Amino acid sequence: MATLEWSCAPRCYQVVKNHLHRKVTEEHPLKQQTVNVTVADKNPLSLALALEGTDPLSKFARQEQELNDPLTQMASEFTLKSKRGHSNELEDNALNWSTRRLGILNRFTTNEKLSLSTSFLCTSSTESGGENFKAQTVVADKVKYRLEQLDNFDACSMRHMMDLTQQEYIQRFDQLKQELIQSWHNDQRVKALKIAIQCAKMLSDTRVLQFYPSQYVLITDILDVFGKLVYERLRAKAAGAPGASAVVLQREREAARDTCQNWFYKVASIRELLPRLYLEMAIFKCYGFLTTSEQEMEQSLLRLTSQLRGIADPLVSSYARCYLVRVGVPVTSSKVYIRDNFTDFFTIYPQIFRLVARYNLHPEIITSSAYLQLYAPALDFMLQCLMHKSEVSAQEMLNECKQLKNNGAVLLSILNSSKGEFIAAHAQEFLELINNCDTPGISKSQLLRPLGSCVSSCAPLQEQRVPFLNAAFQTINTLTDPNEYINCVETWAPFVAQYFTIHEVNRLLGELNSRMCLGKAYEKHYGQLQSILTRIMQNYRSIELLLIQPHFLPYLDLFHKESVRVEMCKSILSHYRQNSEERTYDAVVTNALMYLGKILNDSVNALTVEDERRQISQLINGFINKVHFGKDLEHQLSFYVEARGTFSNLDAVYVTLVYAACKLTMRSSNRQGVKSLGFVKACIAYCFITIPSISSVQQKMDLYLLCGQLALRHLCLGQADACFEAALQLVNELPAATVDFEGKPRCLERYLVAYLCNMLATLIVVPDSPEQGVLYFLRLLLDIVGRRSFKTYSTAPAIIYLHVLDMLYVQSLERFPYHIDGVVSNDGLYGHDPKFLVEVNNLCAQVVDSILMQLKSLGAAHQQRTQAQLAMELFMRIVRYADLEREPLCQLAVKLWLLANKAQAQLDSETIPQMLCSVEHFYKLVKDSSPSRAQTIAKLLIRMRDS
Amino acid sequence: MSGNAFNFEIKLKRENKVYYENDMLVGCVQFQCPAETKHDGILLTLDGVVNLQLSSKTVGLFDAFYNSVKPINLLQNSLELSAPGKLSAGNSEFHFELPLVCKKEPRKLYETYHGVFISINYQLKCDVNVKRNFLGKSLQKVQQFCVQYKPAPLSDEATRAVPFSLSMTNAKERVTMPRFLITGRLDRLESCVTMPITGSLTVQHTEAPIRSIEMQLVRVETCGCDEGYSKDATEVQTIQIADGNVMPKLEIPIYMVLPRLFTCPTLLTKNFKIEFELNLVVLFKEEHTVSENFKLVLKRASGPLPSKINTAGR
Amino acid sequence: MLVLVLGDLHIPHRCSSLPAKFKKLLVPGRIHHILATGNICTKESYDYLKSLANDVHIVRGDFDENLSYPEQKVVTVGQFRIGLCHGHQVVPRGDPEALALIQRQLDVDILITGHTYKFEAYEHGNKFYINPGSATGAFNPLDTNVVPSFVLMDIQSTTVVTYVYQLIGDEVKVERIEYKKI
Repeated sequence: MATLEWSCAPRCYQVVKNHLHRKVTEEHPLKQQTVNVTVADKNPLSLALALEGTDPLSKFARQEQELNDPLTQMASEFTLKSKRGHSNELEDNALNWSTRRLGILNRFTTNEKLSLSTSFLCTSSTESGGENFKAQTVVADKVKYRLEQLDNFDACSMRHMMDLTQQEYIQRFDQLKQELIQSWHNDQRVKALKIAIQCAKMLSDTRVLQFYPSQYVLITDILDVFGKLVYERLRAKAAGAPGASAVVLQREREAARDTCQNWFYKVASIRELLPRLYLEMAIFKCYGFLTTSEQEMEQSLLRLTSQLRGIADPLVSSYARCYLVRVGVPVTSSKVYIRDNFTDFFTIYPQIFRLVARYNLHPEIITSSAYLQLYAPALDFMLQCLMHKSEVSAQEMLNECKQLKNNGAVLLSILNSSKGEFIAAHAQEFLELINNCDTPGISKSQLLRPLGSCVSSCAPLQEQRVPFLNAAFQTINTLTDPNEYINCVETWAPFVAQYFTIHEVNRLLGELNSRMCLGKAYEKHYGQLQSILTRIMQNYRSIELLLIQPHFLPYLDLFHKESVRVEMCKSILSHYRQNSEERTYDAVVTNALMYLGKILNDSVNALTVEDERRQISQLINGFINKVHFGKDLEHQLSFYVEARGTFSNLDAVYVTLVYAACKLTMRSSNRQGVKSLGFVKACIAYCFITIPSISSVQQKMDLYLLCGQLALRHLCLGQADACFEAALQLVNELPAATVDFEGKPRCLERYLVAYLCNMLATLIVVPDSPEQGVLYFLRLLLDIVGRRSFKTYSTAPAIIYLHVLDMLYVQSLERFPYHIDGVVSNDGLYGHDPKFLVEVNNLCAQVVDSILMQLKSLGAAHQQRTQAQLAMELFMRIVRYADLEREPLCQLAVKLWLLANKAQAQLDSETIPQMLCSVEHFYKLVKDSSPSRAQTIAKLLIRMRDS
Repeated sequence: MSGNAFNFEIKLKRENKVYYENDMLVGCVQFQCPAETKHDGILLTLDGVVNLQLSSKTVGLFDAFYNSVKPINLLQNSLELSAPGKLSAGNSEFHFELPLVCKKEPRKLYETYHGVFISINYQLKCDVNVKRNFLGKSLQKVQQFCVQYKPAPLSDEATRAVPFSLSMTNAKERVTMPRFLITGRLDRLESCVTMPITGSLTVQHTEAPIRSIEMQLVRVETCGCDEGYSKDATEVQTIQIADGNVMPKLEIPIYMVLPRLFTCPTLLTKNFKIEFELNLVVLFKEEHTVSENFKLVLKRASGPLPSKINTAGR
Repeated sequence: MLVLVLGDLHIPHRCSSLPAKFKKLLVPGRIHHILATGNICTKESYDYLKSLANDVHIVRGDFDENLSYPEQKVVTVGQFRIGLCHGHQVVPRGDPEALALIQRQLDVDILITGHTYKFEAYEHGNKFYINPGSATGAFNPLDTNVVPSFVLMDIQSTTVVTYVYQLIGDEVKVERIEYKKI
């Protein structure tokens, strides 16, 4: 049929791989640098230098590992010390107010309308006196202006801004803050002070109770700003100009001191108690300019403490005390004044409950529970400051708390503010206190929650844990309200999971199961139920052990709503994925995982979004890859069979299962024994059955090729053939383009070319089946390529044909470049039989014909560049593979060369010289082994030159 | 033009500008001249004056004692720092030392004080006469300074606490008053101007809720002599010590810092008197008010520059 | 300039992860470029490589999910032009002559390919050829006994020192090969 007569030239040469010298080495760039401290090097600093360039974490880790010589030890002690110092700082940060601000602002909000009174805010902020400030240039004017200011202030009536929303209210305070700062920097210190005073005044306004803590935060922010401005200015003044003489500096210091005193005088004359005290507290730090004695500072703190008794409203006074502690903590380490504040607080404590009783009757104003919670931020902070690094204070507070009537609110704050160690040591005591506590507005569950989270992070001593847990749950179980009950358990769950055996965890789950089933309580508490399980998983050491508890899977049944149940299954599986052992052997665990997986699989339907599907598949794949039955490969395979039955909705799981079976095949081949061949066949059969269920054609093709290769490798020739055939038949179904996971369309032509090349490289070693003709698969491939419609001007078919030529040439060789152990490829099968070679040559001729047709059609379509490139490729193959003694072949080569050269203008300038170089290279390669062949090439080169 | 260009100021050696009688007022006048400047003499004047004023309600009623309210000169001294001549370009200083002594009646320097009807002021004035000045006006700078008494120990009276109690008996409108009892004490009635007024009070019981408890500091200024005088009590400051209906039985501190300049040691002279009183005012929610009055005796007891915070620094 | 060369990971399909001993060696921040010969397979593995070095070059292997990776790529590091290609497109597989043709087409000094799961480094026609093998030791259907391996090239002007890391038994064996550009 072919017009051309092809003849493969024998391969007469060898490509020499010049393997470079390999030397085993200990030194390489990825080597973990060990620190070698030489004896001569006594400077610990150089150690640090030697370590530079690596990250500090591994640095520390390394030092801990290598405590071998005194010097490194010294150095590491040094770093330890500095680390400790650092952690101290962090701890002190707990006393830092700024970390709490945001929490309060977010927690205490209101929908009620707020009001604010000030003389400094105009409705339009641009009007805020900006122009008025310009005038003051002359000093005398300034003084005059200041006086006018004062008058203005007095004359100007107060603005009462009513009906502000919370957001507007916050904005107004922000404006006031800006106004204060601006005034200060414009040398209007009196105005700044007045703003601060007006703000402080507003702290006595408790009309919108539930907002008070936030109101306090907003206003004290402004007071803090004011205090800071005063302090910084005095500091700058006291420091004097740099380089001034000692005498001048002394004068400056005295002047600063004088100014400081004036500030306190001004503040002391404020008429109203609350702003007067707040302002003194705001600038409290400035007392540092008047005295260096901490004792005197403390005296003032004590005096302020007692002055605060004059504020009747317990909420207002509590927050004022909180502010006092805030300003006291940075200046003195003494706790006496904090202690005094608590003494006073305890004195007015009954007053609070008088109010609580009132709100009990008028819950429309505020509920008693909400009212008590208003105290928490202030109380917590003060308690934390008091008990910071002071076990004694903590003990004292606990004792005082015991004496107090209605001690719930204080107890709650102690629980929230104490160090974990303290609570752990007194856990039993706390529990008793809670049991005895009967405070209106504070429920037992409210108290049990913080105790639970405390012991979760810091547990009581080992021997106390069991009785403590029993006692605690005795109390928890008395909570009749399911909401209170579950909120409580939520915080206790980590404790149980972390410190007790699986039996306690199981018991807890069982208890939850029965409690939450009552009256379908679960319906309202999915969130907590989820969180409890999550916390247990996070804290219990073995996820496998959890999975096999009798109450574990029933717990899942509490989630009647499917979406929640699916969510929970996902969370369990992702926990498993991250925290389980490398492998799972246990059949019960596997069953549990299958159960979870099945819930997920069943939740998938046609409407499921791709992302969800992928996530679920990933989770299931995660555990499938971990299930491992050791040497029991049959069990493993039957697990895969079961999984295939279970996860029928998930393509990606099927893909994983096929890979898993392939892996199993490889493992079995490492296993000795007669049984193994049958098992391998079973595995491949499993794959062969599973692959068709996958929808992506491309994935199917990949997997068929892989399985075919595996079958071949294990000498299952029949199965291999079946796989290759199936793979090639699928080419017909392969779409022209697919949508990738990013949602972009991808043309599959490039993929197909690469795939078929890969196939061709494999087909080299596939022996012909006696039932089919010579090179059946190659013919099939040619047939399929011939029938497939490609894009117009596509180079794909030509490239495939070129590689077919590569493959065919190998077939013509006496010995193929590679084999598979045990597989007799065509070289062995036909023994270089001339008849076989004729077949090969015929196929070659046919393929070359096809290529020439492609070239022609490209030429007709004026695709000169592509045409030339392909012509070049074919030319090079003719040079390498064909017997150039035959004139038609030689002629064809010259023609192709001319064709390519015609399009030289369209080609890269390098292309033709490169090709010549390749020919030359080839010439050199054959020259020594076959001078006659070399000569034909030389002749061809001459003809190319002459034509 | 050149005549106006220079700048000058009076500088005192003591930064806080506080002096006792018989101290030497030491300082200098500093000139900064961009160019050599001619002048017609530089004069420094020292003044110490008690100014008395009658309250508007008294004016016209007692023409008789108009004489008695003439300003009283305590100090009057002048010094020619320089005869007419030239100020050289750049900085120049003229140092001075002036004794603070009252040579005539009352032969005593009273403490600096700023009241409503009485003020006691001390100042230095420097005049530079410059002919070529457009308006022929001399240039003048003023520097005020303070005079204080040397601290002396307080008498035994100062250690005696004064107990008090307020009940319905203090009220004017007794019949309608709710029943209540407030007890307390002032730590002392004789006190030092630099020391805060301290004490405490306790609401023992009250039928009506309290709105506020305040301390009012009042100055009583008397001008004139026995035959005719005006006596006016004006508020210096009011300070709230309890806000709202405070807990009964809870001891609430009384603490008031005396304002500087507006208070001075109690002063009793032939021509005028400066005295201070304290009112304790209890305001009830139902607009009732009850008050108690205390006469204070103020002295100067500690040093001029105490370093203790608790005296709130003066 | 340190260039990590690795490929044919097949995570998670054939192996669960890189060998722990390799992971320990691959510390973030030390490596400047990564050249991956393909079969990185999933985005997770790609992200892992990204965590080791910012500059990651990948060509597509036969089992890469991401079809947008190129078939071939040329990267210039210092004075070297380096060609990168997975190699499943080469017929016959791993054929040095075919590779030499690719080398000439790409006009590179070093050609890096994978797909054979066997480390190799040789010189041919004055050019340098490297195959880093499979970094996970993923099974190869046509070959048994795959030794996990990867390559690190230290490129200094005209010299490239290649370090081969192989996991033999439970030990990492490192070999050093020096190649000089002529």
